[in-house]
Amino acid sequence: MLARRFYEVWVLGGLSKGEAEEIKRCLSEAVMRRAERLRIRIYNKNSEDLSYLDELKGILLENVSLSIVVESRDVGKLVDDLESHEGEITFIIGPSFQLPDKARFQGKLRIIEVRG
Amino acid sequence: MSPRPVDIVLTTDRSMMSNHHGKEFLGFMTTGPAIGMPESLWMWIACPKMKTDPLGRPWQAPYALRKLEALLQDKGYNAAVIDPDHVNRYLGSARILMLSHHDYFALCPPSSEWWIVTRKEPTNAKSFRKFMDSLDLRRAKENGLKVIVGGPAAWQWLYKLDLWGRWGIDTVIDGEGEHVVLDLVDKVYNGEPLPRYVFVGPRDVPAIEEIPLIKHASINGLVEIMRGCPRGCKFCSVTLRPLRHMPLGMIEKEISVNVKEGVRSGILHSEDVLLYGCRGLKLNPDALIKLHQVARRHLESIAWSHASLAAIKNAEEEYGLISRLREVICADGTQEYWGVEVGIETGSVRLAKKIMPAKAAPYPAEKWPEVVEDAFAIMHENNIIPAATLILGLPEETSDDLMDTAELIDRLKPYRSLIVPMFFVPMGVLKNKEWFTEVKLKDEHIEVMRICLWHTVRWAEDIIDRFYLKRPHLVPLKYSLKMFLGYVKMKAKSYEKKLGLRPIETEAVLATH
Repeated sequence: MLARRFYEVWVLGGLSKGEAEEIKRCLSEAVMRRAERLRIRIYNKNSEDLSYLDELKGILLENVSLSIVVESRDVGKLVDDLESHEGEITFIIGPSFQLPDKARFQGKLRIIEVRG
Repeated sequence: MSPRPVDIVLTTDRSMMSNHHGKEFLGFMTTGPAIGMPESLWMWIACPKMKTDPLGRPWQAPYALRKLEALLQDKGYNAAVIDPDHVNRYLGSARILMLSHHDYFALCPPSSEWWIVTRKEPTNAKSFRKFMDSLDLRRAKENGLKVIVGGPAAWQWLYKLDLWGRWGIDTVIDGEGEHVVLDLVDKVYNGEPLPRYVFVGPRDVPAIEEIPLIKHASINGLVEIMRGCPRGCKFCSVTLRPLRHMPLGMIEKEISVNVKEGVRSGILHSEDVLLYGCRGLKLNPDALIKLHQVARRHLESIAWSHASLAAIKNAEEEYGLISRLREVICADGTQEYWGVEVGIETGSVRLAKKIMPAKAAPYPAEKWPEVVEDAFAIMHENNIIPAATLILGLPEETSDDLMDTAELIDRLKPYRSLIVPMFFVPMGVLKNKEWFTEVKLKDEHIEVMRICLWHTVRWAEDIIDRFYLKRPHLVPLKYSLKMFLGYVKMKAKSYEKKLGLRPIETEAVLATH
């Protein structure tokens, strides 16, 4: 299952209400596009911090239509992951975070910036 | 003797790793706190330890764990279900610890309800916590152990994020795990990072040919006969999964595994046993008769996990099927009765139409109360003993709905059954540690709960006297249960007196047999 195609939503920075709302919108979009799976990947400085699951809880518990995978990755791995990933990514950037080398990845990213 | 290492340990706590003295229904006592007796006695009644082999492998284990054990062994992994008392022997060298549970933290009904009513933590949650705290996880995690949790209560971990760190939880899987478990094991073996949470949606459930056969005995011989349900009730997540009927050959093989390992009783598991082999909601009598004949050939007793009341009524009215199945199940006199869980949910036609319009099908939702009563009468005539559930506290519920429910339960007095109300707890409430203090019971709720309590106690005494725990070695258990019922009646009367409530008539009209 994990090797199959996912609707990718990556988040840079922590997850607060703003980012969670965007993820909810992405989930609706994925359903409308008849996607079967959604991957939510959180890039954090502290990958052991689970507070993002608290913000995602409502979304995860209300979803019944798509398979969802939630991953947490160290922010230091972001550039390598962007380089190696094929396919489109919806990229949510929290306030006071910036995507390094933004221009390099513009082609594969749909960027959503969340204002504080 | 040092055990041979097991790379993947599958286990759960004592409240789940028990065959409940061969009486599945006694397992429900683990959903409550110990009442009227010491906790050790309560646990002995509800979930005694089973025998294990020298390696700590239990005689019987929860069906889901057996499925995963089989799946992993089929793929060549060194995996085994291990009794909770023996897990520490393997943790030092194991690569993965897999856990499953019906109700890790007592947030599901009926555990949540008993917590609301008694203000005491139920024994299932206490037992799980005690078990996890007993494991030498710190050292095992330093050695690279990964901990993966799943089961029908997996969602509860989203309310217990503090425990992920305390117990080193790596991944939570919610849903049918056959595909994703293998992916996760691959990742562990390849040193890749694991996802934190996986929900398996309807398009990633396994096809029948991908579902393994169990290799060792399941608790009380439970075998699944189908997955999914076509009714679409709003309160149920199972209905969202694709419907799959297990082939008879597969079911028979699993029954044979159980019998070979000394488990001669069986529970046919489905969300609605009578829908086995169905086309839409149209019953398939031939498939059901064959299924029961096959089961009867191998088993000394058969039970059903769940059946819908509408299917029970339809089966008997259209096909005489319940009577025909009784002839098969009770043939040769070895079995007098069988148990099943059923859902009444509500006596209100208004609520029934809102939350479960297809539950009465093929009858119209307007007829729901009659469907319930007719099905209870059919079950009573055929010695089927239902444990029935109600849902109280739904968001749209009104006092009139509760009155309708109370009236329906009252009409069910003549029918041998247990009726247990379940309390709906909104997701938002569960966030707080003291959530159970926030659920406020209305007078009408208390009235419905009272009617259910007296109905259940009255019939429980009858069931214990006439049908249950007849073998000589079960006599102490039988009398412990009777003492417990006596205690419950005494406490209930004292609360009613304190609240100034009129006693409920407990002399049910008995049927002629």
